[in-house]
Amino acid sequence: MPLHDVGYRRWTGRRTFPWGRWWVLALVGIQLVWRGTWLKRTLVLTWLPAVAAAAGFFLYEQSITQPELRRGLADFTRIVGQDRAIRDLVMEEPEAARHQVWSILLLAFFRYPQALVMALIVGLIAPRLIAYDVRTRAYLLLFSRPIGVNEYVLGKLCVVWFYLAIITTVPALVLYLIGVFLSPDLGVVSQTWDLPLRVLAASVWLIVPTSLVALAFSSLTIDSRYAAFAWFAMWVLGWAAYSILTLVQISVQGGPMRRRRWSADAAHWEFLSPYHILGRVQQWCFGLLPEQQSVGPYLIGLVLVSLLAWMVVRRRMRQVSTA
Amino acid sequence: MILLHKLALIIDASTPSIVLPIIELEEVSKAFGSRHALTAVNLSIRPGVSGLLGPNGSGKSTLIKTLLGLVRPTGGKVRVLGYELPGAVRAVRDNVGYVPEDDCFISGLTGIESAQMVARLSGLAGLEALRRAHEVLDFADIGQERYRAVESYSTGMRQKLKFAQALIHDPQLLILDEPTTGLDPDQRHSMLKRIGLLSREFGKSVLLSTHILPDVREVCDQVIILSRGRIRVTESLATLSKPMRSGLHLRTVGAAESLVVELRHLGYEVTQPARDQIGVIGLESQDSQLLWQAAYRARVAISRIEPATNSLEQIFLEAVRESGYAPA
Repeated sequence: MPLHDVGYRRWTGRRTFPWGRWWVLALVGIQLVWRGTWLKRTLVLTWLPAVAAAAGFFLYEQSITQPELRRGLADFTRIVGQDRAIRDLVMEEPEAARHQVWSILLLAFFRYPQALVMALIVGLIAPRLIAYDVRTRAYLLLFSRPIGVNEYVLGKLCVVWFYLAIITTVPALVLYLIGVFLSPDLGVVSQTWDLPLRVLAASVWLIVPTSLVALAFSSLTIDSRYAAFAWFAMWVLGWAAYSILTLVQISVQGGPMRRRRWSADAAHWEFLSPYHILGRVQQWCFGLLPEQQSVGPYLIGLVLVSLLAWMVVRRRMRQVSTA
Repeated sequence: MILLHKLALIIDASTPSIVLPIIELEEVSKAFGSRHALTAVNLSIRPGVSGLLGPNGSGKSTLIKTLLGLVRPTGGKVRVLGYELPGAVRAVRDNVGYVPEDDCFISGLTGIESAQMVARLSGLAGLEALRRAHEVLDFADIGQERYRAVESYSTGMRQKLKFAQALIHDPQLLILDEPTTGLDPDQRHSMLKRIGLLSREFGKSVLLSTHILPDVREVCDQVIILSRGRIRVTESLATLSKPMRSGLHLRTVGAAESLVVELRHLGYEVTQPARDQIGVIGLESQDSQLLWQAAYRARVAISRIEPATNSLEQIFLEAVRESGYAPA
């Protein structure tokens, strides 16, 4: 017997708070995911769009003193779908448009590069989280401890939330701080104090439904490849269905495509595409939703999808643990 | 009830007569659709090592999962260590260690990380969890392999890791589902020694579910036989080992057929469990002279005579047959 082997000994220590043990699952999950080399590389790449957005903040602050830069900024607001009033404000009184311009820059950051990398990161992380536990029967190890199904799901969700926050919430808040430091004085904080809160709201609406749906896919299979396939198929097919049906409708109705694009008739196809649903809700979070649009159906849709996904995961884990 | 139970555990060894059961089931039933996994199970298990025996599909796993609160019974009452399920499921899991029959591990973790994680789930704080994980891995005889990924472990190593994880929070009750499966004879012996030690020296109660009857004989005080979802036998091993009728058990040098014929000719009821073994029912030790004479006439040499006992195999097969189960 080695010298360090003291045989069996009783343990009489004090136990930690019983309702916070899902946190252990979250921490272990985060550590395990972090070991993936490809994930680390992808995470570095996902911060590159933040550099472009930071350049946008810099250009805007410069345009206040250098009018020749305003044209480019006004064109940018047009490209991301904003109306003429904002463009005119940027051209004539850029300092008064700070709140709108920062919101547009943050929304563009969320909406275009980060929505895509979000789909990629979740597709890399989430499919394994439950599928591997079911395949290796780790649930027997976990559910024989004082851990319930809800805590298990919460622990797994935290893993996805952590990485999604790293690529969306954290860089968006950093961008806001960059904007504050690039501005002429700290008085801009009183003008833009609500933007960090809007970033948090946009993050929650992006992160919670997507991670729940991804975990639901993961729970339905023991092979994570199928869950990953279902995840990416949902985005690609949704986007393709929206695009095709919108184009068909526009061509049937006639008229210039760009003007018809955001018409109310075409908008209902957006419910087929998770990307467009999330985009609308984020527009609303940043206060940039067109007046004729209502966010209610989109919010209800996301809430329903989230609840359904939660129920699927819970039901599946209960089935698995009692089988 | 829980206070009474704790008090009873404290005075367990000195006054066993007032010791409360560690597991109590009253009319517990569980059905999965039309299939009845457990039917009106009444069971009371006292502290010590209890062997849970039963053929495949007899309801052992369902019974174990019911005790852990993983399966909610269709009817009846379940109490483990004085805690009533399903209400006190957290308290039960805080005080019970479970070794599942199936291979189970967290993919990507090393042995020590896995044990530490389980410790933290059971409420041990960070560094203390790591210290305790090393301690129980030493006890379970897992050496430097603890720094390897669990996926690379052999079946035996995984069994030992599961055993260590079950012990990590120092539970009062251990539920071990086939803990010696996949172990070589030496490791199996060590595992049974550890189980015995935990029961004898640390007062832990153990429910050992197994198909390996010699394991039960080696460590268990009590035997529970389950078949077709019903409890068929609940008795101490010592009581079960006593023969129903007096008799002698003989071992011979070489084949014993001619002695069997001779004894039957004398009017005795004789069984022959093996080629060189004979059971003679109705004979006492003082009648051995008769046996020597019969052996002389049959030209058979007797190497050993001892009072007959019931074999566990025999009891198990009889109990299972009574339930209508036809063993292969």
